[in-house]
Amino acid sequence: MIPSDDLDLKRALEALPRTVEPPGDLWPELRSRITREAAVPERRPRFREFHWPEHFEPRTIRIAAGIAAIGIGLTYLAAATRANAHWMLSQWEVQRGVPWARANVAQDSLLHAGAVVQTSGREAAVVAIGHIGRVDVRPGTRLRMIRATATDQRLALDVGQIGATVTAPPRLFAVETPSGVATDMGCSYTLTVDSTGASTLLVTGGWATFDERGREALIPQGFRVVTLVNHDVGTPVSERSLSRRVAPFPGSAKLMYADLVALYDAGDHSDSLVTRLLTDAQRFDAVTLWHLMPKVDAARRARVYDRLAALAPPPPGVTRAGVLAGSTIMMRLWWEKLPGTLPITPDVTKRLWMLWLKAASWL
Amino acid sequence: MAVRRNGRSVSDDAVRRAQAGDPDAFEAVYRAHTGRVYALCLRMSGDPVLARELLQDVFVRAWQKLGSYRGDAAFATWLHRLTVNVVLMRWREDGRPGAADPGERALDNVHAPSAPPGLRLDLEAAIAALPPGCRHVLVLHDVEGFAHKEIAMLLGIRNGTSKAHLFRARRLLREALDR
Repeated sequence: MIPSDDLDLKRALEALPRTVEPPGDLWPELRSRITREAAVPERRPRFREFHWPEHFEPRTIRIAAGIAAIGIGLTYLAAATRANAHWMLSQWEVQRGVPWARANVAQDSLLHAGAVVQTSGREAAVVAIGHIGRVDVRPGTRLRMIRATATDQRLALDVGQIGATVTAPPRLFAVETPSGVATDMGCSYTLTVDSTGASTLLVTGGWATFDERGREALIPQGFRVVTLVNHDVGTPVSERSLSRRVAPFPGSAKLMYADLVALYDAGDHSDSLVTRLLTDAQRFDAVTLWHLMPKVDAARRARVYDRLAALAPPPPGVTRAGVLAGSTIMMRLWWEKLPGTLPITPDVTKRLWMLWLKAASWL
Repeated sequence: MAVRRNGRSVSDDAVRRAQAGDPDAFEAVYRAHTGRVYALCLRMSGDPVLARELLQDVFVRAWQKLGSYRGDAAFATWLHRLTVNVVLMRWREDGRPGAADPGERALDNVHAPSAPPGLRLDLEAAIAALPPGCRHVLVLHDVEGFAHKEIAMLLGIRNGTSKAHLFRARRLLREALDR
């Protein structure tokens, strides 16, 4: 019978003998090979032996190479980040000058949390912030070290002036003042605190934020914000407006545009002042008006919108009704189209970066 | 426990003594399993001369690796798996030859007591004449009872490829037997 389908064939195959005697007795030859090639069998391993596969498929090799490449990349990245975090943790170092320093300044000039650097009227100092930047401590300044961790480098400026240059990721470096907190977003700036505790933040590169009482001002390069103690965060104003004289204003004959902004921040919310702020605004004052929008009352908000829209037309997706209703998404979209501003870092990016820094610091 | 193969029996004790390095005990192991191992070598290689070499290689390898046998499975199962590995390793080392037609020689030394002689000899010759990839899958699946997943792992191929080989092998076998 010849098998004609799979079933018959399968039966025939299953019926094949399981044993087939080899021709002749191979044992003598085998015994000599055993004694020649392997005199003693391998000892029983205590644990299960690992054997490399005797043949690697190309696909397996490609996968293994990919995994190895990813592993090497991650290890390199973690090592680089960890080194950076390590430097952040390496505290503060006085590089030059002889400041009148108090508390916790070690012999090697490292500054620990709680240390105070206080310069007299003739002294200056430079504090290195690990590898991420430096702080120039100007004469007559009192600076305290608050915290130095992988994800939070924090100082407190009680009085005086510092110049900070930071190349760290956004929101890693912050300086507390009596009137708010200046947070670096990758920039250089000058921060001054006067004897009343009022802060003046002037951004000279990149951009920074200043926040107080839950309100945050975004300050791009070339802008300045003044914040008084126990007041809301100030309104950023362009450096060009510091010396731009405006038409005579009741009670003050010689005023700059920045003075109008300062008056508003100080509490003068009169209609005449708001009108003057809007009519005297120029294109580079768009940032100022953008910050003014949520500060003014609802009745004046439409006027601010119209003036800002005239100076810097809103991008697609930003509507008058939406902005007047207080849409933060629309305000953010508009911000990124204002002249001289930089994109706002999304929260998720910041969180992921902080998580990575923490993870790298544990390695 | 006694293991009965090929009309002979070998006890676990013989395996244990062989593990301790006793060649006489290993001879008992060899004689108990040689028929099964040779049948597998012959069908997988399709060449009786090569099958003789493979048989020796299997038992040399078994002697060397006896220490790693821990008794988790039956010794016959362990040896069977070792045989498949040795045959496939030789096949790879030789650049995967076997496309040559060793079918006639495969018939020379086949002595089986039970199956209808005409059909069995035709079938053995037809198996030996199969292309090696198809032959390996057919022998492992239809004769030795391996699953496609196991065969895929052993041969380093995909599951589907194993099934395709089996389908082709059966078709070729039917064509060969119909002639």
